[in-house]
Amino acid sequence: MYKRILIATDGSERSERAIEQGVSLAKSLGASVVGLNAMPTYRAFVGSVGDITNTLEDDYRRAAEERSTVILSDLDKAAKAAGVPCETHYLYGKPVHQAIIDATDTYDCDLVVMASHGRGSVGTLLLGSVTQKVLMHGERPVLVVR
Amino acid sequence: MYKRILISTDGSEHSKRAIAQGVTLARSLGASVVGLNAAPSLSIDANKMDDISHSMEVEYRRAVEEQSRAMLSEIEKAAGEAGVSCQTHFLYGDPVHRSIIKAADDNHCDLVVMGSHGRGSVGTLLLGSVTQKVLAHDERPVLVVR
Repeated sequence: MYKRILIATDGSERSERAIEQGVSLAKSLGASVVGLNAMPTYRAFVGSVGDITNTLEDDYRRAAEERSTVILSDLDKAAKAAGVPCETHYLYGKPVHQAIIDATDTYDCDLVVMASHGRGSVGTLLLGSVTQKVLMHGERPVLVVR
Repeated sequence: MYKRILISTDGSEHSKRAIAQGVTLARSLGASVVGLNAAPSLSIDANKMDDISHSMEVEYRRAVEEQSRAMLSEIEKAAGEAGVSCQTHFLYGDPVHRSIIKAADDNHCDLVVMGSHGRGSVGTLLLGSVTQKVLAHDERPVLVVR
């Protein structure tokens, strides 16, 4: 069955459930896990104001990377605890759904596991926008976890 | 992991791939399969033409049921060949996504497997409307197959 399972996380509570299910599925199937956290490019609402914009973007990038380290180490821990081989990746700069789809190809994964909603959309949408776009544009099967 | 997997089919190409993946997954996990075909009722605006609409509906139902037997036997055959225990159900009525969720509830399924598109939407939508509604309203994990 599935050999390499990509688990996409943004650190949200629902993502934690996706991690749990993705890791236990990998364990049951003897598959390995590729953990992914993707962040879109920083977009300032103020347009281009030279130095300030750069500073803001630097701060954003630093904060995003720091958070990513924590998010991905949680995933890594969950996989290790289950005895599932795991690697993790952080991607910056693409629309998140595109980063997920590209990573699925790059790391040769045959299944994507992700939450129905991420950070942005809980309570507002019936299905999160990133999840929806992965379902629309990706070629691989997607396990959507609530 | 998953113990009872509901595979929903409407006979479309995407559904066929959902059947193949759902059955393989069930075999890998030692799970059983519940096959489902849920058909919408015939909607005609000719409310006032009771006799005609009634006879049309009777005919429609008969055709739908016949078709359903063929779709469900595909699941039974795939499961049989994989040595996976399987039962199948036909549900008639609206809306289809509710039938799918109800069947998953009634049969105590812990995973739903379905195609990204059904018969209605291939080529027109990026993500089928029934699939989208199941994702929005079901509490269970859903494996969406392309």
